[in-house]
Amino acid sequence: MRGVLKIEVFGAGCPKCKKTEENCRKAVKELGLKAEVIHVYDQVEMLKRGITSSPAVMVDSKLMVSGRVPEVHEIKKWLIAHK
Amino acid sequence: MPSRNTLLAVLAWVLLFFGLFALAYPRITGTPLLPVYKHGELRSYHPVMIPFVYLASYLTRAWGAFLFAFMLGGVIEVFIPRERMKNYLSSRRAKSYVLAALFAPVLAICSCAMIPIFGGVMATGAGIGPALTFLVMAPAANFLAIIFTSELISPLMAAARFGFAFLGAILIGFAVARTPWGKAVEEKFAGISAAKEAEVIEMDFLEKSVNSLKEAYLLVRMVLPYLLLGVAVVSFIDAYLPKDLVGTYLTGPLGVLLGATIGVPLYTPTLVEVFFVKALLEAGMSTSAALAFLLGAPMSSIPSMMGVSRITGWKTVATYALLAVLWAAVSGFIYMILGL
Repeated sequence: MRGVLKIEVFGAGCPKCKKTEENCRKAVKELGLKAEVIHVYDQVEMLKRGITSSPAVMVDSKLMVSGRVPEVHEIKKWLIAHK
Repeated sequence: MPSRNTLLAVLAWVLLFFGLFALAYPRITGTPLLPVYKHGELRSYHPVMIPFVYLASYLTRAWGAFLFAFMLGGVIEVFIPRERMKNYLSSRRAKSYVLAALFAPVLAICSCAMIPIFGGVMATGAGIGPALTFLVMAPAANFLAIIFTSELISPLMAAARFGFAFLGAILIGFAVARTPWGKAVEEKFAGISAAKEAEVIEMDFLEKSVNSLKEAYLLVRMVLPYLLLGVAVVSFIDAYLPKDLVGTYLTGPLGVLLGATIGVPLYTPTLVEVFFVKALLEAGMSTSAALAFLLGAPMSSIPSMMGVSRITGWKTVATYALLAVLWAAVSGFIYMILGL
């Protein structure tokens, strides 16, 4: 068994990035998963990770989306597929 | 019964074209579509009322521009293939500089999206030159700023703002890429590459249209609070700034120099610079000083410089900011000599 799922939201604090984080938390809660949602605000960190447009979401370091706000049902689909 | 999504998609396009119609109508017919509220002498109002009458006057006059600009923002967010555009900038040749300057107005509206894109441009292999061209051009001449400059000040000023920002951004990117510290930044980030998305979901036209409405809403939520606050501050400047002060300092060669430099310590949120310049123009600022401000202020604002300096170091930032202020002044002087 793997440990806790790591969901990282990348965004410098604009409304879209907040919305993305909100959606991720909602998806995790609705699925009743054990996952931690981390919001990365640091832009140097983003560059190092290869994020070139925000908001972006990585699940266990795999880039799932960048440059738009993902919907709750989309995030749920990734999480289910990832398990 | 059409589905909710169909209705929303239709609404998105109807709002966009209605905004465009409201924007174009007064230009063609000479009369506004709806009655315009005009405030009287601002100082005659109670100070508490000044921001409200000021905002009311702008809202009744420029609602078409607001509607069109924000709906267009949503459409651009959804329909512009950013990743593909970035990939056109893959060489260090002059073409990449020109394309970076051309794409910048639609690639980033939000300043918080700028730095990832800046990094993204470097990651394509274009190097720091075109990346800086993008960074300088985006705030100075993004499409929102150009629409508002055209609507509130004049189409000529909007064209000048775009043209001079375009030339300046290319020159600055080109110059900084040739400094030792600029080259050092390039080496530091030579290894980064853009992460690939696990799966890219293709959306159809209908979904994209619905999303453009959502994006427009998010854009409004992001820009409007600061814009309202900024315009409220501008209303007091408009009411109480002594006209002779503006007439003395913000005209002639001194005006151009001050116009190019006052923007550096004075942070103006997105679009507020247009309202600020409009108020100063009414108070007697020369158009050449106005152009210098509209170029200098967004290109070298302190918050964006601080963000960039974390990535490139302060030497690169200082160089591009200094060049931006110089270019703003040069543009103002050219505008003055041309007698526009």
